[in-house]
Amino acid sequence: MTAPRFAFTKVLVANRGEIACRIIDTLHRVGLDSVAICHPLDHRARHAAMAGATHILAGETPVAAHLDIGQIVEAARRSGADAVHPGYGFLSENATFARAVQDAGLIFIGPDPDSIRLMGDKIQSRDFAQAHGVPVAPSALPTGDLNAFADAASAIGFPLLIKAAAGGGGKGMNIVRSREEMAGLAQLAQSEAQRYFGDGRIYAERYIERPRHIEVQVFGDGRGGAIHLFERECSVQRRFQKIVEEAPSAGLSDALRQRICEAAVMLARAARYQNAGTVEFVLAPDGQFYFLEMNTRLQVEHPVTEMITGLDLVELQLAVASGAALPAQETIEHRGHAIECRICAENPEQDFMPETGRVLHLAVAEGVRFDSGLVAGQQVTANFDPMLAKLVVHGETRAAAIDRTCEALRRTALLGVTTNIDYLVRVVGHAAFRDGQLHTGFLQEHAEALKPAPLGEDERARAILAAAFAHADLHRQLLAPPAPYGAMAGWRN
Amino acid sequence: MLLSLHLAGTTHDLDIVARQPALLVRLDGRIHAIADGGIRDGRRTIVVDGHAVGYAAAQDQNIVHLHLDGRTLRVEIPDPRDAAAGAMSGTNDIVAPMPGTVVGILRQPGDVVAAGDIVLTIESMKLQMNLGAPRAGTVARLAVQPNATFNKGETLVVIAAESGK
Repeated sequence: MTAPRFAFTKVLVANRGEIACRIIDTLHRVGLDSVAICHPLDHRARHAAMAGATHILAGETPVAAHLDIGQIVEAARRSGADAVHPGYGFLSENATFARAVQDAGLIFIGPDPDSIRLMGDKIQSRDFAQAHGVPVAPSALPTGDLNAFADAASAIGFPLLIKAAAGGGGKGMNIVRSREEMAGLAQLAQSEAQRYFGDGRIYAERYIERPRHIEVQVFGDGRGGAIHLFERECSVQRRFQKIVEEAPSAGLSDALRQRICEAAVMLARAARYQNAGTVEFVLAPDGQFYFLEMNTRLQVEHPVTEMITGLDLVELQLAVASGAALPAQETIEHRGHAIECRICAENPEQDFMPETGRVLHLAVAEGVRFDSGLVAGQQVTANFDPMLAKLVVHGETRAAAIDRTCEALRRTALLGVTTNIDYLVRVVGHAAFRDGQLHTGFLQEHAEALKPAPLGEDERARAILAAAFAHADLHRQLLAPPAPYGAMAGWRN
Repeated sequence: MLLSLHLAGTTHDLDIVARQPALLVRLDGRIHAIADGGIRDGRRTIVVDGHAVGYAAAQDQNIVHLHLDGRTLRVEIPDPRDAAAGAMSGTNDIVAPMPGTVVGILRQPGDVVAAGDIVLTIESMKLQMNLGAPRAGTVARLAVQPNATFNKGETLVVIAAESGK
């Protein structure tokens, strides 16, 4: 009998939604048991139904429950789990949580708490990167004195970007274009940072115009060994949040790809990083790249890396957490091109304002990867992030992947709550996207062209007639009137 | 009797011309022959003037959500009997555009506000947004307090319009 592949048999997934479902899928495929957690309001959720066991968490709100370290560790212990996978978001980058899991004698499937702490602090991680030869953008560090900070920041030159030291997800980020704007925006960033992260420290760095967002997937063994799984490009963003991601990037030459991937590996090695991480860079139009931050978890957009490498990143995480050696760098290859679209409950025509509603109908295009935690009839509430699903497509070339993505999006019907599906078709189908002319301001630059085309007369007629047919009362009146009225025209009340 | 349907800001008039031998309707003055095409490839089909059109649909009371020609559309089919009830909006109040939590209130009762002045900040789905006064006036009453949660459509702040409006 061979030794078991994993150092654990039952894994509690400390998350919900599509990522919990995606992790449970791999756990079951490799023969491990799963435990889900959910708040009572979320008990019909798909991840809870999939898992071998579900533990209901108490909490004033679902989000509060998913952030309750004591309760989650206790749930893991009581359910007999011997490992915890944090997913992304919630507690995934919380060093205290990772430590609490370890202190309970369980394996945390992710980096050790010290790495999380180091990389979680934007200022410390920048210093660390710089000290180890990874380029960082010119910056100003926080001081206790907002005026002194404003002076130091202004010396970088405008435009510049103010960010929260403890930040992420675009919160507490502001572009400052002149000295006059500085004081007000610094104050705003500070109060946002305090509010969102409980840490009011902010820093400033040079804002690169028309930058591309390039990130490198790395894996470390915790002993100073690390490999990369190539890059992803995530330049298509609204509100500093990604909505379309792809791998490989259309903006890198082979030589630049090698340099940027090597820089990421260098950082992971220096940090003796363990498990999956992502090193994010800003790529300037002149080919210079600068360290942005390191995310110490599985990323939302990890599927595009899986599609081009043929590797299951969660399975690799399980193996590394079990002490397995990393695959050799030269065995990691990439093939073809993958694109991920984030399907969100939001209205692109109203500044991407989140939408709520009930999922009344869901039909997914065949032959694509669709990661979601959706169930029919599900209420989309304001309790969680508006991302509902990820549609991921692979093609032999970038052009083929673009065509397949547009086709798959057009064939995907999610009715009952307003989503960005139609908008994503226009984004991925846009000529500039096709040309690979991407930068993080892509959506603003092309805002006019990305508006929906007006409906033609025939299109309107088809829609009105189909709607009348689909409406229960009208359908009855159109097609099956009681016998005596059959020959008569007109509606009846 | 004419039925009014709303699609993307336009009202369309639909009437039944004949049910037999074939179903004929008049839409905005044009006659169309329509028939149920049944289910094809998992999608409903309607035959309009001889052409089959596949679509997906879901009804939510008087709204029909449609997926047709690769687009997602919303058709509103008001019940003619409810027609009188609709025209009650156009209020001076700040109404919640979505469910959420009150993060901060920037104005107090008695404060004079111009149209667009930010009165309160709300948070929904981890996103903060500022809500402004829909028109000029005086803050008459705060219907919510900081940290209060509310549902979509709830009145958050009552604004008394400037006199003479």
